[in-house]
Amino acid sequence: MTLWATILSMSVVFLAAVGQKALAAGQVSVTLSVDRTSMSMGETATLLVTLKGADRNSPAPALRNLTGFNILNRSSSVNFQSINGVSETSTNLTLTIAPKKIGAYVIGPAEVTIAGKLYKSNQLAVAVTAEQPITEADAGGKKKDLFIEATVDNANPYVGEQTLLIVRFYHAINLLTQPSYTAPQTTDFWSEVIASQPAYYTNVGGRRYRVWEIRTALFPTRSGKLQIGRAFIETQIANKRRETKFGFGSFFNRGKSVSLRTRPLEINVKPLPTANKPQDFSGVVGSYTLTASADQSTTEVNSPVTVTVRISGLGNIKVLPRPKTPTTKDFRIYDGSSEETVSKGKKALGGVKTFEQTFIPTREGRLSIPGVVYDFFDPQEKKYKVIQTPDMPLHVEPSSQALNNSTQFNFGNNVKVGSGMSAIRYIKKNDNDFTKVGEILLFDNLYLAINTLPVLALFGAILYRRRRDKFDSDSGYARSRSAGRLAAKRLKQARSLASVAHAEEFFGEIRLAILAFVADKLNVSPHGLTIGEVTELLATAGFKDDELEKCRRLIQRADYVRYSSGAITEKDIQGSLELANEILIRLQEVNLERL
Amino acid sequence: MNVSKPPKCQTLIGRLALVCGFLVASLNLIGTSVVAQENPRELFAQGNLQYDSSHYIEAIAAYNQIIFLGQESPELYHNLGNAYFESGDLGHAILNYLRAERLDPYDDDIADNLAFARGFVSLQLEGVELNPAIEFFDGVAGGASLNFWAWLTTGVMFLLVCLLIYRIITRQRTIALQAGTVAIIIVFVALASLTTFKYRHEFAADRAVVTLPDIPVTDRPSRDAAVEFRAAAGLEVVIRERSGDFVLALFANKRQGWVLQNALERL
Repeated sequence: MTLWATILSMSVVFLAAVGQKALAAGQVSVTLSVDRTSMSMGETATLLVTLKGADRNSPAPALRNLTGFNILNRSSSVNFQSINGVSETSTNLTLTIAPKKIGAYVIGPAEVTIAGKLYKSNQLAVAVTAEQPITEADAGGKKKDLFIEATVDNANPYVGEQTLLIVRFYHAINLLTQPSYTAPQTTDFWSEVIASQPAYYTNVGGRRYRVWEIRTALFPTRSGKLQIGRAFIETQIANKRRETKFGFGSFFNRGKSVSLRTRPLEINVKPLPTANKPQDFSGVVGSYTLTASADQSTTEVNSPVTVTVRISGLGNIKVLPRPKTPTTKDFRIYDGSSEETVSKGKKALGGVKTFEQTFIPTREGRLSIPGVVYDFFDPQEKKYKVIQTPDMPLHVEPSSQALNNSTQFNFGNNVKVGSGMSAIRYIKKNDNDFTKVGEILLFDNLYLAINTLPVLALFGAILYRRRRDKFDSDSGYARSRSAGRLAAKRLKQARSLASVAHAEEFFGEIRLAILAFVADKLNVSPHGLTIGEVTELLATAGFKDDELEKCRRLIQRADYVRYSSGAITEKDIQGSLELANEILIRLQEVNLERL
Repeated sequence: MNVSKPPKCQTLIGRLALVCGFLVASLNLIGTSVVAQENPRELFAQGNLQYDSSHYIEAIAAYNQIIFLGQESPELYHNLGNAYFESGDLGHAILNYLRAERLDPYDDDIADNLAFARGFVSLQLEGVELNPAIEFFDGVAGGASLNFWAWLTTGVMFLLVCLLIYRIITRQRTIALQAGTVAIIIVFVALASLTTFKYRHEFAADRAVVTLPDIPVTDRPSRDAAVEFRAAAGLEVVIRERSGDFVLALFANKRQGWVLQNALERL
């Protein structure tokens, strides 16, 4: 079953009643019309089948020769009309069609059978041409289903003068999505979208278009030939449809994306004239008026007065600079807040900008706040203008803060001076030592070192205490730790006795130094140690044979001399002293405690 | 951002290790001064002369040159604040008074000028609620400089360590000695806390001052963001976060918003 057959059968039911009524009312007629007889691929046409004079229950007309087109949309309406008491019913069937391929087609006739009689409509000839590439607007483009164009209202502005960029998007066919706009690149311009008005309809080349319009105020920031880039519009339109064998092709047609772009525009920006240009010109371009007002006319020294300067007019209101204020010794002047109200007309940007300034009188008396001067270039009149507000009188009384402060000092004669400040304290003339910028004592290495010292001292004290405790509680440890010191002491004593006259005492000290060292290390009595035990221990500790032999000979000689010193010479004594020293050094190298 | 950021605190172990290595080098550096192309003292005198002649812009240039040379002093920041104040730059005036006060909290001139300048800030924040604990610490620690608290803490630490060493060596356990030790420990902990508070509050916190007038404070870091309110020059903020050209500024009344970075200057 084709789609058309489906529509036809539904139409039959729909128009059946209409047909019955038409029979009773009079002549039945069927007409066929189309909104365009020439179209290109990708475009659509609206086909209208009108059945007049038939009863509302009459069948719907069947349309012949429509196989070359896809039906994108259909709708129907029934109209009742009464003229001179005679009522007439007309049924309209509206079809949106899109061509399937290029060619010349004859559509129709539409046929309907009412009360056994066949009624036929006229036929229509429709030409379908190749699809036009959709790119950008040009002279021929206005025949397209959709196109975009960009224009400026002033292609030769001054620097800072507004030129209005208007981008219009035309479409004569339905869009499946809302168009998405991408603004053109305007590198050398300050830009502000001023209007994006609702879509409207217009006729271009005899065709009705719906138009979307975006207006942007552009203010060139430099002179010369400047370019406005391309604006883009993206949307989705209905795609060419492909009929399925079940006739449901259109249900699955999702459309296609379309991207349109404008041509870049070039404008020639004129520099501002140099003739009659005010000194220190601020660069403001536009047409403005200026007012200024103070929030009070009487005040005290050091009490602030707020002056509001109001600049209004047409131009780039957002970038208006703050008015220059003449310097005066009567006031300290501080810039306050600013506020702008931008008004966006259809053609121009403008509004009001207010600046607040705080004037603080530094002395009493009848002063005047200087008027505000503002200069700008008026592009309409092509000349510079300087506008000025009148001076604002201000009566300044002495500061009550300075005189009536709660902390007062009475100097007599009713002269009172308060402690409140009426001015800042004066600068300091003494040049104290400078330090490095950002230097913080906490991270100074010297400071950290100084802080480390007590910590180290505390650790030292703890270690000392522990050592002392071990000495006191462990006699073996104490003897072992002091063995070397005592041996050295005995050797020193022996050295002082190193003579033949004191040979006995000398060898006694030598013998004791060696044996006591070994005994202290082993925590045993030196008096019970024999030569054999000592040499055996030393052999275990790693002494070599020759070292053991030297040790044995030295102790034996010492024992011998203790009982018979007659054969000892000075040479023997010196040799024994050196040997004892050598043995003690060797003894300190080995670990006797582990034996 | 003229002033360099204070050095980051490194780990204690790392610092202690460095200390030993740099101790000798540090001692060698004592007494030497930074060799500058221009003499800070001459520049300071030059700035004062310009100020005396009401040439405030020239005075500012001379004072700032000293800072550019890497030198600072409370007097320098005080005079610079004065020059900015007289030239109508309230934001920079308050900024430099704060810098001066940080270096010398005792100075009445600096405190008075700071209070005086604050009175001219065109926007007064509502709903400023002070934290009682912070106010207390600030009240105690604010009366002296960080250096004072740091040296005092060091002095008490020496005293405490001497006492502990004496106890360790002599093994004395008298009640008087124990009470004295506890008292000194309490004093030491209190002083160390004050020093830490002083450092964190005045040096580690990312404080800044609005230096441009009429600055939009937005709800997100973007030039297209909605403006919540407009800040005035001289307002003091704490920087919480950074994002591109914007910083998240916390104002005194706990209101926060994004501000263009170049509208602020760090303390």
